[in-house]
Amino acid sequence: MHIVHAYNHWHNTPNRVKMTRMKIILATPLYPPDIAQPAAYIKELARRLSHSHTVTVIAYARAPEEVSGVTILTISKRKPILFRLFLYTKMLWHAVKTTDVLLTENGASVALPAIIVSLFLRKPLVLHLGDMPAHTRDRHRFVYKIIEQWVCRRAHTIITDMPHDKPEILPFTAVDTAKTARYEASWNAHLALLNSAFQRYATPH
Amino acid sequence: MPPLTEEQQWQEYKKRELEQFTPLLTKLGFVLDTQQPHIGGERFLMQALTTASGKKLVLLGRRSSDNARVVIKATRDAQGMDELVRERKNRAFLQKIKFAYQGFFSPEEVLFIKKRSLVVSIQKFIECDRPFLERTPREQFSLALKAFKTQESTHATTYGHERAIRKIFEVLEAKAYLRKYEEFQNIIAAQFPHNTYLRDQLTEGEKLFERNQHTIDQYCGFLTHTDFVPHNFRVVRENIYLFDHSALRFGNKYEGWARFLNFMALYNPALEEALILYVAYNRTAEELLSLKLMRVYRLGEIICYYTKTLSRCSGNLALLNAKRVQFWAALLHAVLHDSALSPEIRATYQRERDALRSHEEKERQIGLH
Repeated sequence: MHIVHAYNHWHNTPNRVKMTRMKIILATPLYPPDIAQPAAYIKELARRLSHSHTVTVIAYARAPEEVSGVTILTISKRKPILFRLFLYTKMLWHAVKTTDVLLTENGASVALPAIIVSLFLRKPLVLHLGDMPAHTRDRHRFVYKIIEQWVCRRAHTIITDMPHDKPEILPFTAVDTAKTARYEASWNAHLALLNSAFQRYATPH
Repeated sequence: MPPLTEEQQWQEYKKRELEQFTPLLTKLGFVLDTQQPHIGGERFLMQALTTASGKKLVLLGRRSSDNARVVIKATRDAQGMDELVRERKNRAFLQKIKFAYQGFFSPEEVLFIKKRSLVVSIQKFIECDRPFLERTPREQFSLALKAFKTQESTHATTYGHERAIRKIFEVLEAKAYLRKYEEFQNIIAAQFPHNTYLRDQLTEGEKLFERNQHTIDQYCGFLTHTDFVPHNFRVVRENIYLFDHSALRFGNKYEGWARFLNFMALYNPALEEALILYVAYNRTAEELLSLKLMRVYRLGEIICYYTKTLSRCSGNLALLNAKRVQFWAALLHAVLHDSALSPEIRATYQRERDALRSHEEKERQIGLH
């Protein structure tokens, strides 16, 4: 298992790595119009990864925001919990069959299906610990804690790096170009980190 | 003897209820102020026009023991009693809601009495140093944005959330919004059968709404205050205190924005523009469309509101409300065409409104926003 805490621990950049176009699945419990921070992260990640890979997002959502060039598959959260967990696992199973790598956000509702699918289909699993409030919450709930510990043990790579939040453009306030530059730099580094992790599992198509 | 006008009926109601409640409030340790701005002016027209509101008195007073200022809501009307009970339930639910990322401040409850025939709800008066519209544009913008973000942070998405909120709040989605909009259209068409301009604007809005129901649904499930205007919140040291919790529901997240922006199109067009730019720069194209759709919906609603008042008032107030229908229709035209309302239309309306408003209503408006 590889644990990658921050982008400066990783020296490869997209320019240094000869990249293979890969099929990547992003499994997430949150996706816009959800407002929690990981939702915006996954949408932006899908958009940026889609420039060099084939990306599918599998999310718990009802009417997701679309991203050009990205396939978004959803399971409604309005179904009872066990039923939606089953449907999500089924959808993930079918999608993962033809994929190179599965990246899952933390959160029991996606981590559990992701570990089951990855185990049975023998697909590499990358865990992104991006939702820290959920991570903290899960540590105090027995079942969730067990699931997270299990997924952490089984994941091929764990990534904790998180790019900066997108700076807002506010009327009556000058645009902070330095902040925007830092935001872009953090995303470039984050993508370099992810691509390096993904390339280990690349299979020629 | 001719039947009493609606205004006369309100005066009678007010007198009767004050006679009933004043001794009770004294017994409970509260003294009413001599000036009561919230039961004067056009207040009589604001009763029972929406399903959410009943007849009630909103009074200002003080607690005898410590002279603390309080706001007293009192009613013996069945709908009014329901409204006050619902408002209290909503307020309590907001305090313990599990899926909210941020919370609003609510005025502290001093006393709540519910008997078979009356409800009295007393809350601490929230003092603020100056009205919202007297703050700098930058302050107004950041406070409004903070308030919207706080509302948006309560998003009911799961089966469990849905079950929890349906017992307490009204929940609206695209179909329900469209059905209501069609009701507004029918009421307006019945009152103005020959006004083709108004009909065309409303029809254009309806078509836009029908075509984009998916976008409306996309941003539903959010907590939204349907009457989010400056007189329904107070700012104390950057904290926002929310009033009128009975106006909270789960619906499109831009419904509260829409009410606020339509209001600002009249009172502060620079703030209206800034908030639209914020959405355009920082959010998705679907969200900008959703905001436009909700503005259309809320404009249909306000035009319907003033249309319904026309048969219930007379003289200058009837004239003024007819002008209000024209003004909001002009804003509807501007919103549908993604343009700003002409400053001439705004200035003409403001001039006419000020000339037609009663002295009592002008007094009620002082410091309100």
